[in-house]
Amino acid sequence: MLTISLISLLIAVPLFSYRITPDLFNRITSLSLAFAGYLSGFFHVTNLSQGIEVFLLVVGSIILISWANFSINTSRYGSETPTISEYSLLIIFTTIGGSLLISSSDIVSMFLSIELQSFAVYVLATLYRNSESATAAGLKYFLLGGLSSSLILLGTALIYSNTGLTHFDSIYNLLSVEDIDSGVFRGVQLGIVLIGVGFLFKVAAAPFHNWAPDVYDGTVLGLSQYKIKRLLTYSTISHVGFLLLALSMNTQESVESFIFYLVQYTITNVNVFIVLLALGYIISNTPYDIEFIEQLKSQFGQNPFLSVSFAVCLFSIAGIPPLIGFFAKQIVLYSSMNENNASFIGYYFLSITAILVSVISAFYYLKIVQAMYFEKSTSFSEIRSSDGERSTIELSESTLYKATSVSNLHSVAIATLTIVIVLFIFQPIILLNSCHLLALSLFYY
Amino acid sequence: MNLSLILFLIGVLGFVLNRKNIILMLISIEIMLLAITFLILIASFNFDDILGQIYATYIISIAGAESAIGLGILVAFYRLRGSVAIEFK
Repeated sequence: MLTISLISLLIAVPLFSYRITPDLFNRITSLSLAFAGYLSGFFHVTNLSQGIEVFLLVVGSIILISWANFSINTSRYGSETPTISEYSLLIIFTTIGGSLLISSSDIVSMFLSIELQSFAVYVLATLYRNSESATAAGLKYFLLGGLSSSLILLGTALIYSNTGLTHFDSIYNLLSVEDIDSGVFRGVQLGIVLIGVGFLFKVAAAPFHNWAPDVYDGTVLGLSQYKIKRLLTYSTISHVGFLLLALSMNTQESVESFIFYLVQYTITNVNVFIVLLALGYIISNTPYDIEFIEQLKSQFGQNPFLSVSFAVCLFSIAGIPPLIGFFAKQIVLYSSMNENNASFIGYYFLSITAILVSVISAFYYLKIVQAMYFEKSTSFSEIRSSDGERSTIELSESTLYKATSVSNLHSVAIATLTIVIVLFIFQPIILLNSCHLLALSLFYY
Repeated sequence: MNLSLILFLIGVLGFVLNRKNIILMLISIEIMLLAITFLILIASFNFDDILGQIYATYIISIAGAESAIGLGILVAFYRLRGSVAIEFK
């Protein structure tokens, strides 16, 4: 399904791009991603990879739905409006790379799918090629991504040159009979460490995270920080820490909590970004999105529904009790405190650190909420366009209420995700049971 | 194996120590990828295994695509800024 739509888009985008609008491409891609999710993915390797793959495809579909259709005249901004027809193509490349990566079982296919995914993201980061910050961010992302993928590649090469094997199962079988002090074992260990460092670079985990804020801030979707996308990137870094805490324990409970945390964090983060996009469309009525927290001031009076859903997402990220984010944090911490763990004390320390960090970071989210609800906005708001020039745009009341650019589908997506976040507490069985079954299938299959 | 690891180290050092020119960073990435290709080729020759050679071919084509994307981004960057010098904030 995805391959067919990829090929047809590859043919259609260069040939017909003057007649078919990019919105149409986005809708088609969104639908095909949703169908590919419905028809359950690419390869059926295990239940776990299949489940996560379906989730990935559905999320890709939701992201494309919220891409607004613009009816403003594009002459003022040149030809580089957000509706670029290659956008959906790149999304589909990235999604295919991700789903292949999930179900890959060989070093070679793992590396190839990583590269497929990251090349598309490099281009995605540089999509606005007339904006200086976007190209700078894309360049930085490209260079660091190239470094990290060559680290991963060195790891795979070390494993291959020490064992002569590329399949994960064969490597596992070899290592389980190999002596721990042997040279082969050491070499494979070194290779795995290198692969791990490369992957941590890619997911922007704590020691290797310095590149991420710059990249997100410069691109389309992006702490005493006043720039909002930078703040959200730092929050992503701390959440990756939580995910790694869950992943590092490798018990059945912790895998379950890992899957659940991943799912809820993805839902919440997608919702944050599409609400931000919608607010950006409404506030500035331009393709430019929100950069500073100041721009969100007193949005509650002007866009009550959007700011309520934004606040719900922020509370969920911060882990306020009735929302979904609280339960995810609780499950992760519960499984880390579980007495079945071998190294009991170390995980206590980690959990306490995680709690402290999440309390501290809640402060920053609450600061955004405070700006949105309680601070008066100035009638002149200074909007810095993404190519660095400062332009002062008067936000008259008429512009503020002209919500033409948020499409119906966009608001439906926001509403659905917000309702999922809020009402999870009333029907938690669906999500929790599926996570439980996936974790069980990993351990007792 | 040592030769290719030394080549890789040259690439990493060129990437890390270089603070001026982006093209040099692209070249360093290429050096790293080619060093690893060399390592894999030697290993596959030692094992008499065809899979390593296939892997090496894949890596070479991937490296080509990577440098194409990198140069494309670099050209877009150069058009806007007028130089390829990088400054670290």
